[in-house]
Amino acid sequence: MICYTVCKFKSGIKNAEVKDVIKIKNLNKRFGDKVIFQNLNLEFEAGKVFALIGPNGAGKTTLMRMILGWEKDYEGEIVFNGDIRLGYSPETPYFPEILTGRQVLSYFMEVRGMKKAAYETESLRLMDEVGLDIKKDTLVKNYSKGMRQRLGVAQALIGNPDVILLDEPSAGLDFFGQQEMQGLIGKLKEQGKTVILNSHLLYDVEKVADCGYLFINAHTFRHFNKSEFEKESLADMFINTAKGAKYESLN
Amino acid sequence: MKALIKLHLKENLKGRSFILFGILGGLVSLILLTGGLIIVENNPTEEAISQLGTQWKLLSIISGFAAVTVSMGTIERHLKEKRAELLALHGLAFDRQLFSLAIGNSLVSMMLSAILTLVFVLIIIIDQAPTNLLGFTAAFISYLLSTGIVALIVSTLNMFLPGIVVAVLGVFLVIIGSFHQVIQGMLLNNGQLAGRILAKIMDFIPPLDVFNRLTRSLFFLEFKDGRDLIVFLIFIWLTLTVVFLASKGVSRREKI
Repeated sequence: MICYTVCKFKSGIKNAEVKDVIKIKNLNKRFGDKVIFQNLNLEFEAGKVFALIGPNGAGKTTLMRMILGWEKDYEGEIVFNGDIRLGYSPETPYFPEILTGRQVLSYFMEVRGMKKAAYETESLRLMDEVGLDIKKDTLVKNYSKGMRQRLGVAQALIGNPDVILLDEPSAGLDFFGQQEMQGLIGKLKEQGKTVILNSHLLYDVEKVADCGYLFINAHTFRHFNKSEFEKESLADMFINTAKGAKYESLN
Repeated sequence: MKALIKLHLKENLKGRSFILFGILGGLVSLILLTGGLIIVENNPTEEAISQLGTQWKLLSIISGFAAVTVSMGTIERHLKEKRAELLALHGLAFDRQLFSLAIGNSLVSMMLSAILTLVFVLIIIIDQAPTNLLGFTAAFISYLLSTGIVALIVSTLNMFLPGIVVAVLGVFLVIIGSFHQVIQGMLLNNGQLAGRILAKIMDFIPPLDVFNRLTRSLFFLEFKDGRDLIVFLIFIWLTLTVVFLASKGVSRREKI
């Protein structure tokens, strides 16, 4: 039987005492016959940049969707520390092409029920924050891929979230675009935000992540932190872990 | 909900559609006026009534097709472009998104229908048609609302069926609905079981001809029988309820 539970840490625990903003306990997930996660236990600490890396189909995006509450059929628990606010930027964010960047942000703020006076100033602040202030009045249809991704991050920052989930924010960006995105993620970290970053760009991850999780398959995943990938590159770690998983399954 | 409806209107109300519908409506009105499709000899009042009545009928059929065109793929596109999840994250529940889109489609269709009548209104003013401001306004509102109903039904169908199927069904619905009573009468006169069953099925198709009869009676200041108005109001209420329930149902299915 498939069941799901999303709990929240409640009263009695002060935020400062609990470092983990999200805990994942004994998570099991399958799509039909394919097991995606088996007894997965993860912890996401406050104020850090976490990277989720792994091959296609390893379940990184599924995990993000579970955290966001969009994937509900699973066993186990996803526990949030208090009423934390989540922000999310999808891999290919859809934005209405007939709006300008600033209007897009105002639109989402209006959806949230913010007052006009508040969203007019807040949208300007966010455009400035992601470095799109000079393009604020340009139609989204004229935005480059990098600008759309940055607008996606700005959209994720609406409502001052505690945890920001970024799904492949640098995918398809050129070198300069990637650099800008790295700078932006660094800025979020400085502000004390927890960032969960799903990326295939290992070089990118090495630049910005404090730690992360490497998923190979349902049975093989590992935690890594900055000191580890400073010694062994993430690419080597990826290959060695994948090889280990292969040998394991052969044995 | 307001933000999504506003955006939907902005995305769909393009200047080009307005011009196209303005020209189309103008052509229909002028052809009927000058071509003399309906001629009742030596009786200008009856002629005027026939011409204007036919105009209402034709305009409501074209408006019905416009409603189908506007609404046939919007919900499907909304789901495909993954707009729904992001909006849900910002606090707009999925069922309310669907309801907003259906209402948005209805409003866009009504606006296009209004554009269709521009030349018609000019003719009414110049020719001094047998009506007054109140009669025209009431007729105009019922004409717009019947188009809105078509848009709501087509939007609801698109929650379950692909756009192309919905387009075919929508056109079918407008044609059958516009000649509802005639077709239903023929089926019942047929006397066979199949005919009676089909006539019963037709009860689920909006009787656009009844709505049109209401529009015409309001326009020509001949409104006496409240039955058509009651049928009309019940249909609006029923359609809104169906859209609401369908939005809830699809929201559960999609698990957003």
